Amino acid sequence: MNGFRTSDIVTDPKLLFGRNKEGQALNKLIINLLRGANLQLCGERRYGKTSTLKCLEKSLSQNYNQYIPVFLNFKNHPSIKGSANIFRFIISKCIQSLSIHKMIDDSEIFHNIELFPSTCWEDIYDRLSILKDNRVNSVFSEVVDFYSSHLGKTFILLIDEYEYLFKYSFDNPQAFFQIRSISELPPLIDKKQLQFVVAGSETWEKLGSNIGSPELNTLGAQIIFLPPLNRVDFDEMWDYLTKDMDTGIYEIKKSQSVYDLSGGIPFYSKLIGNELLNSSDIDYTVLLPHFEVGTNKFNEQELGLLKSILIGNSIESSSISQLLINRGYIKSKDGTFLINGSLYKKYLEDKFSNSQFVSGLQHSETIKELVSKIVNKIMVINKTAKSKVKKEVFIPTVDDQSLTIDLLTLCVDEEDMSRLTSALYKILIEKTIHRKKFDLLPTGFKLDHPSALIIDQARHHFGAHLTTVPTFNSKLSKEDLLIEMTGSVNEPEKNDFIVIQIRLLEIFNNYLNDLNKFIRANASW
Amino acid sequence: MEELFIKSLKVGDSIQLVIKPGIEVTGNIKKLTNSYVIVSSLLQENNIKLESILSWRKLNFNKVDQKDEERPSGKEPKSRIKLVNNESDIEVETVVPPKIKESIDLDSKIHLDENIAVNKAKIISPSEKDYESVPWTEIGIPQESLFKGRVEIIDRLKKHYTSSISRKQTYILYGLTRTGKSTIIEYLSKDIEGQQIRIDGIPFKISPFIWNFGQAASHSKAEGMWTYLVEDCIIKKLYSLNAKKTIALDKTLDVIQKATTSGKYRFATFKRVISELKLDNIYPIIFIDEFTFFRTLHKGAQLDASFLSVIRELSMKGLVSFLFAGTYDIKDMISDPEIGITGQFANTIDYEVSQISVESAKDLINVWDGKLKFSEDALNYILQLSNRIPYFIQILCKNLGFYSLENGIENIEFDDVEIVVRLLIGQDEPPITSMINTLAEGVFLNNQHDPTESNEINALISTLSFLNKNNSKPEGMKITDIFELWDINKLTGINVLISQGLQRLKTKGIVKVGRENEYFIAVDLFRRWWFRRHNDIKLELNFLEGYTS
Repeated sequence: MNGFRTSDIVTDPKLLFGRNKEGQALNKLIINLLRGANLQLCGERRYGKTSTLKCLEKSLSQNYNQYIPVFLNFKNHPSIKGSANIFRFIISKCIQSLSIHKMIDDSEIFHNIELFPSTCWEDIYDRLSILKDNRVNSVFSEVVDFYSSHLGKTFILLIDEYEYLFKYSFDNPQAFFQIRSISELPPLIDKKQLQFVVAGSETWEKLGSNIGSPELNTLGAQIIFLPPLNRVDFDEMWDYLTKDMDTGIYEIKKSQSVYDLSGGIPFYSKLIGNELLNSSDIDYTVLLPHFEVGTNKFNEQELGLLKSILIGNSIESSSISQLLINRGYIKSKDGTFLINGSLYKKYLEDKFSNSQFVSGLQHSETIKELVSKIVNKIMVINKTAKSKVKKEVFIPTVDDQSLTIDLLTLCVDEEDMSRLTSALYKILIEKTIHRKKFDLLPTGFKLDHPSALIIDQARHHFGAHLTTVPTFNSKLSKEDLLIEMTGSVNEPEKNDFIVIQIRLLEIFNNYLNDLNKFIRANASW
Repeated sequence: MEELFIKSLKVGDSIQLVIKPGIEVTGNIKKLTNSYVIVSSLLQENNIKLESILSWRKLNFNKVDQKDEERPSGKEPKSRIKLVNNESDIEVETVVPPKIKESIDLDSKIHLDENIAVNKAKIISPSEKDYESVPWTEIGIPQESLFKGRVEIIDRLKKHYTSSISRKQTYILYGLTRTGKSTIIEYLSKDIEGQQIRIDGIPFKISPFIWNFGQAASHSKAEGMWTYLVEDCIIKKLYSLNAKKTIALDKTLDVIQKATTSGKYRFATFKRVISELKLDNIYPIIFIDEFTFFRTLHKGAQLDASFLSVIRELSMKGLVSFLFAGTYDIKDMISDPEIGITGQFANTIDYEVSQISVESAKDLINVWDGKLKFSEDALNYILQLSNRIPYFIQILCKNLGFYSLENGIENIEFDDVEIVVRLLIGQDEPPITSMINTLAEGVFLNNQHDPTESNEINALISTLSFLNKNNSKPEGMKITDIFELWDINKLTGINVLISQGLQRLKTKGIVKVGRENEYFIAVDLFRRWWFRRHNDIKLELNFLEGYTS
């Protein structure tokens, strides 16, 4: 039996290796919550943020009866869009949580709407649909106020993938103020009404500057990082993962070498473990896309520090080195900084020396080039359109930089594909909408254009699919789309995602070329 | 609490580490050097994995680097020990006490054969309750016991808004974020609630309402925004006071009920409700927090300059008073022709919210009386690091509270503050299990550092930090020192830019000016933190490439 399942989410705190002991992430989260703080759980992709939040939810439910934990992941509910719907959803999940934990028996009336206890959030959400948008925030405050004061408990909102909430769910980032303001109210009889934990791979301040909302920087939440596992915790995890495996695969049991290769990062070690089932030769290609995703996000200072460590320069401890340690890219031993994980070290050596670099980097360069072309082309189209018809085609918004990052980030799984297709959709469809009509794009370049249709359908098939904008008549099946992208109807495997990413970017780039030509050739449209 | 006592160490001594009840590790001191002591391990006898040390509750004594140039003379650290995992040995690191240090050559590896006095060490496991009991927190509205140093402004505002002559004028509280403006509003609101005033000889009750423009901006449509401003912030409170019989809504009730029944809120609804309150002898005061978001609301067309003109008119008619609170941007907004509110700010009184008095700052530091005592040196050091801004005092004291729990210390000395500062700025690595973390960028953003500011502002902060890099107590820098450094880096002919930048930093309270016109970064904790991130002055000044005239 193969214990290296990378998609498993841990919900039992006992199995949350490296995060569940005193002084580790789960303990730190709880202590900070007890102190009334809001928190940010920050870790690279696949470092176990969702598992940690799930375990926190369970731990709070079982051992801390002063709290009502409410787990929220908006990425799993892409049809819920717009600030009012987001708050309808949060209200529904709050009441669902109260119902599941049998804290309420009776219905209550808020703004003339009777809300019944239910373990099915959809029922509550449906009832809230009759509530006018401008009242939803107010009802949210009332619900939190009512139940927290009547039950003497605090709601803990556990918001997973919070970047998605800001980029694709809220109407504007300021919508979060509602949650923040309630969480900052002085405690009532020693209990706060609401606190929150947001989890994501970007720090709050980085997200704030990416989405153009520097005012978000005053969140004041303590950041808890998910670092790699230490050796003891790693061994415990490894023993657990391999306990039911064939005794014949003895090599797999050698956790020391996997620890050294992976740097103690559980997800990497599972990928390596899987690879070891087939081959005893491991090189960094098994982790390449993940290394690329992380390393491509670094700024000059961070890259400079990695290079210095590689060539053996003496490095002073700083907040940047601390950040890289927290994120698991480097480690400190006896006052010296080292690259964490032998595979990552080899990857960096090749990347910086530019020698023998394998396909991942070539893909990365192709993607960079394509995204650069797309960004430039949009600027040119907007400039031309403004001079001719006094309006831009792609309405510039505060999250442009953030969307560009989403296009640039290498796709290695369905989750990435969902992010990419959401970003493409937002640029092509939502940013060209004026008063809910496609009136900024010329006829022939709306969903009647085959490329626009592909982008629309890619979002439909690879993740988020419901939207507030008009739907389309002509549809493309997933099989057709896959044939267009990969030449096969088979569901994409790990290496196919980058291929699809490049293909989608090429299609969008070609579309923009056509659009540019049209706009240059016509005086109006 | 389990304790480990290391009375003194010398070669051959054996020590015992009590990890937790029933699990003990013993070892002999193998050798002593000028910087560390190696203890041979007898772990195998106990069949304990050495690696598990990392997951034990720590001995959180941090090594203090002797080469540190930022340490002031005469402030040598006390001996500290730290356990680290070295695969086969336990190392106990200690900084050699000053009197021993004087007698050894630091460059040679002399093995000491004399005793090194080491403080009593404890292995401590602070409980969740212990951590919970640390009173300081920098987030949200502080409890009354932590609200220090704002009595004078609250009294002044109370007098202002109860005086029939002055209350028509709007107070503007401005200052960096997290300096306590919202807290002042919150406490003022509580204090002034229900106070009686007389208007034309008739008694009125004051009813304050708090608006948060940040929260208002979360509504992308005007109707949603007005629902928040009128229904959530005003009407709900009126209903609640009426139900408690604190006020009697007789004549106004009809207007309010009509508004809530229709459910359509707009500016006109606000005007109507506010104007009607006088019929029930209620005098409203609106406190607008996060006023700087007026810019966002203006951009989103939810509000325009006429809003301010109308509220000014209502205020002049004696129907309502206002107070605005926001960051320094309020001042920029006044002169921004695009927003068009210049004329509306004539009838205002400005008040800058910044540091608190020395006495109040000390009160805040000493708030955990009986649990944690601060020496005079430590206290003064915290005042220097925080610039007496409550937000930074809370950050420092909270982490010192954690440090005291994790190290079993009840008296905080200068060195303890320095150890914690080094962890907070990232100069030393916080132990992995400690609740002390390196301060994230967000702690300083929008109060000390504004990412939207121009490059020369950042370069000036870097310059002032760089020129002070060797100083624990910062020295003021003359403008000529800055000219000189920039000149060396081939940035010439931009002295005006430097002067303007310093002026801007001074206006925002990020830089303060000494008696001889020398410039300091006001919050010394920020100076230290900034330098750890921006210590390459050439690189910092490179951002100004092209500025040279």
